[in-house]
Amino acid sequence: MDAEGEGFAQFVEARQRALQRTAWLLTGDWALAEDLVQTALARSWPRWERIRRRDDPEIYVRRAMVHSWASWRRRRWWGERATEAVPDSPAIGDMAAEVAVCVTVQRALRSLTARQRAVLVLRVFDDLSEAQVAQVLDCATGTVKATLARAVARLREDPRLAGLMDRETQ
Amino acid sequence: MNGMDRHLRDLLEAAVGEPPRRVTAEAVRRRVIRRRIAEAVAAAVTVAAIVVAIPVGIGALGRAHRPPNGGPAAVGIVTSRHYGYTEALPAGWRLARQAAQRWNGQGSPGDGDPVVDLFRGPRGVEAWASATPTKASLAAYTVAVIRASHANHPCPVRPQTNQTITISGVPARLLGMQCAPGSGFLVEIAVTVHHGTAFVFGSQNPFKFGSQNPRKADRAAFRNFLDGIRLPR
Repeated sequence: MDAEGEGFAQFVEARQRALQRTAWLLTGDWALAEDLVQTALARSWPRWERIRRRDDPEIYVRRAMVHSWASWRRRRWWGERATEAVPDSPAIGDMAAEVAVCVTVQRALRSLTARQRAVLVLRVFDDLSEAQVAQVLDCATGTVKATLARAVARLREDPRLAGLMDRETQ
Repeated sequence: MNGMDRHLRDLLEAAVGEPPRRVTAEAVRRRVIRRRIAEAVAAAVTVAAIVVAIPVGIGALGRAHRPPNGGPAAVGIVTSRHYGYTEALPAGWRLARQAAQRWNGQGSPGDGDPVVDLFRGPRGVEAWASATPTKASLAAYTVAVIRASHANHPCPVRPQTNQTITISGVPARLLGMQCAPGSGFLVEIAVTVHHGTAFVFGSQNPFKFGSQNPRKADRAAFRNFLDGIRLPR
């Protein structure tokens, strides 16, 4: 394997978990998340050396990921829809609590627009700076701030998520 | 990041969990290779479709240029660089040269002038074409062509034949004259005026009247040539 291929392999090895977790928050499905990460990496690999020289590879791959996800959402076959009633999963004990958190978060994320969700995930979960989020989404920093504020306000309207957040605060 | 953002982050962390499978560079490479193969196949299919479509299209074009009177099918299409008409060459005809420059409307250009498109047909028959803007009617322009032929060539004051024909569905005149009168070459000139442009198509039989009379077949060759003309829209 050449140096370029080696560098790419190292990046994938080091970042695939974080990328998949971000992708899951965007898609809400592990199979789609894996597909999304592979798609973004497949787009990046042929120009990896250029990306590595000119850009932050992490930002580039995340941008490819968000753009791919946005384009998937525009396709008709994209079946995800916001729903009021989320089916309960059978669970007991602590696992039940984990599932409840997972389901509540998923439902809350689905209530956001695509851009709100992307901003929230990149800024809050991935801890990117506002400037980096703006770079990923090709928008102004002010747009990132405003979108994030609207996203958080929207999440606060979800009584179950607000309850979980209050519980975390206590 | 403020306190609320941190709580939100903790919730997101709690919700995400661990990916069930790893993404590897090898899997990504395989995916890229599969995509490239798919793109190559798609490109090959496109090229194959184009390769099939071009001859079919040319065939259709040739059929479209088939003379309405059931004459021979075109063996090639020529578009005049300077004058814009197209000629669906009948069998036995070919383009000898395109005009090197536009005609200025003066004189009576013949086969040796650089302002004419020159074609060579069967048995040595030649045809040439030129065009120039005009405000004259077909009748008036035909008179001007006869005068210019007389002034510039040893052609008669009055042609031996003057027939009404159509070129590309447009009314035209076909003049037949011996240049010089009583001997010389048979010269036929077809004139039409279309959208403010006068088109002049000339033909010359290679044989002098005195040595060998032009055959009917040679006249027919020029008619076939005229049938292949399509004037610009």
